[in-house]
Amino acid sequence: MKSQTLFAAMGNIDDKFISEEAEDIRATRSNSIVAKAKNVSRPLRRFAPIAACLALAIALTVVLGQNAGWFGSRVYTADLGSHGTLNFYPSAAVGADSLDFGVDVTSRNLTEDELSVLFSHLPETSAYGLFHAANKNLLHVEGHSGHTKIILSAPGLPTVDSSITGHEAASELNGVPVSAGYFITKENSQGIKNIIYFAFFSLGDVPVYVECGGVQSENEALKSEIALVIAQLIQNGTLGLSVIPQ
Amino acid sequence: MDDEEIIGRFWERSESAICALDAKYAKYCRSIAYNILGNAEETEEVLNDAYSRVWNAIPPERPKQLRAFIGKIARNLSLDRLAKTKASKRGGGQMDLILSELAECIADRRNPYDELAETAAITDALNTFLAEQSVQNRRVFVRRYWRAVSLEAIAGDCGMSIGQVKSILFRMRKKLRQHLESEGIDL
Repeated sequence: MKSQTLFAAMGNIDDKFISEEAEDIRATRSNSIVAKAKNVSRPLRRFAPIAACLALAIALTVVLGQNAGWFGSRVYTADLGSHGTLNFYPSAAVGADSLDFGVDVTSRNLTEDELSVLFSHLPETSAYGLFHAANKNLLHVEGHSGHTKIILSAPGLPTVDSSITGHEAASELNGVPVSAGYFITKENSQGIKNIIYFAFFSLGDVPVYVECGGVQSENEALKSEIALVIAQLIQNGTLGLSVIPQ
Repeated sequence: MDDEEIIGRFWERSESAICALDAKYAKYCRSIAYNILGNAEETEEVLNDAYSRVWNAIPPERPKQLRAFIGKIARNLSLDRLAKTKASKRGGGQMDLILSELAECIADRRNPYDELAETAAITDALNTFLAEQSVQNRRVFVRRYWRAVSLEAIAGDCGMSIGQVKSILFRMRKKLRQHLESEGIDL
């Protein structure tokens, strides 16, 4: 018997097992699990107040919105054709401190040439970089393409300093696993809710975080924009932050 | 739209039946086909073929579980297409890795015709085997070896590490081999 025969025989198993597996996906997506955004333990050293606005925005969202009713229960999907399908699962961010790389850093805006290296084929880009003060290596990039924020860090460093509560199931775009989600804020004084889409993935060993938010009525446009940015970054391929000198 | 309504439209020979089926199950079938074929163009062709098969099957069929019904069609069509292209290139998607994993459960036979006769017996043995497993292990096993999902995606879906998924599958394959032997499936 060949393994192909066994695999083919699997095709005829009882329908209840197939339906059970499909039901499990839907059930799992509505459960909350804590997925840490941090991917490295950082020594307690010097403080680098980076991404404070992002961290504060996420923390405020949690403080003001710690209500299960806020967070949508549906999965939003962006179909990217041959690149794949990106699923955004309902999530929440919990707590945030300022990002700390544990070293002294310097910063500057990236040049047009440097933007074209890191964000090739992305429109309306701007970014600044944080460099290791001693060895001049590029540690962290925070940029924008249109409404979408893009954050890169050197291998082993965090992109954002927050924990994300939600379902971290991975979609795949061109073979790259992408963990994506969204959260919806409570209505503001004008009765407007905002939706914030986000995603984590890696390009080579460079961790990437992207985020795109706005009023909930522009949900589809925001979702499309962040999905296209993610797809383009993945298509651009592995990043090498070392190509950007201080 | 629930499955009963979609099946009803097929019975009415309503053209909206295909649209309704596509709206509900395109992503599911696409993932099955792409996991096996690893090629987006062929995946779309399989999807269209699957809809055509469903159109021709319903009526007279009235499947109790539409997802499983179309899922199996998509899977079988994907395997047929993979078999046709395998002569010219290596299988796409997860197939090479999955087949090498399943090879642990069986040994090669000398007579290929015996394999055909055993397929039904193997399926029965698989059903018995799966029924005896824990829900979690069964879902991981079905996800990997029925839907050909990658280890990374299974880990993400189930909230596990890739190591845990590998460990579960390794133990399951070992148990399956023992089960096939105990069922008299000649290895």
